[in-house]
Amino acid sequence: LHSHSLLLFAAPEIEDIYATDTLSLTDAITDLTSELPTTDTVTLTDAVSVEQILGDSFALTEADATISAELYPNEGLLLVEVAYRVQDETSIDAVALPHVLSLSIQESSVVQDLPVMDALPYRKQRGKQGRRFTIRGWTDSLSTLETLRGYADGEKHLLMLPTGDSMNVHVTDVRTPEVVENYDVYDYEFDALEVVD
Amino acid sequence: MVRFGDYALPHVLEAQIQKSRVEIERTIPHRDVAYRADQTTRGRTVRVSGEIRCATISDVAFMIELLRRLSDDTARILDLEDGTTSTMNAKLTDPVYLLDTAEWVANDYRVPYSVTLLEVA
Repeated sequence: LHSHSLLLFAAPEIEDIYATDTLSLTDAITDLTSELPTTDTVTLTDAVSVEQILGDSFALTEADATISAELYPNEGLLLVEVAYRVQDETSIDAVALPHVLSLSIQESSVVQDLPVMDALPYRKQRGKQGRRFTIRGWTDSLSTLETLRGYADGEKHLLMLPTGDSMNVHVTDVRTPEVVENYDVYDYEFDALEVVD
Repeated sequence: MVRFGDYALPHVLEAQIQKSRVEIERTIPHRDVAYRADQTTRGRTVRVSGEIRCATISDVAFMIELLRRLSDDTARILDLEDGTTSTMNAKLTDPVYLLDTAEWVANDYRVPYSVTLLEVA
């Protein structure tokens, strides 16, 4: 798997981006290696929008090396961390799922909701239930269907999304409807629940 | 553009506002209509749905993560910017999104999403 990670910070109002990195230099003749720290500062306009911030942040991630970017906001800071190993592929336990058509993902919260007389209600988020996945696809192999059914074994499985995100899941329900008129095409659909590592 | 705090929700296509109240209801034997009394407001619930439209999967991943992180029990100012609905304090919950990979093409990745915003004081 291609290894790549990035760490991003996004904030509503940013004036400067201060980035640091280290270059590894090797002398081809003497084969000596030295580390050269580098820094750079990018100044944005005062009227910067969120979209511009996101775009600028991602411009820093195009390089092969891992880059840490530090943004200093005027107010408020929302940390967004994205780490991925491989993209554009859905796999479970490092085995690619065949012909994935869609992945429905929902992340419900537990909200305490108490009405208050003559006032707006008291609403407090008590926690999250974790993500629920419904994955649909098809395959031309009956043995693949059997393999998919085997994932509903109560054990943790590593699910990797096409966005590069990954998490441990329990596969709870595997549905394999067989439509007689669709020769050699076997649809599958299964539910998975995110579990803690 | 729908703004939530200092952030703009990406490509909003629909905003559905639901306003409900708490109603006390007691059925009464042999009466055609139950005893009903209004108690208080339950606050507005805004269901916003739209699409994340990005040129790279990395951008998609970033926007999804941003939506997930906004569900942090923090009240922010919700402004639908429709010219009629006043701003309100709200908390974002229950993000739902669909990775419709069969429809993805290079340089045009679209992810339908929806979030629920609960009005708070």
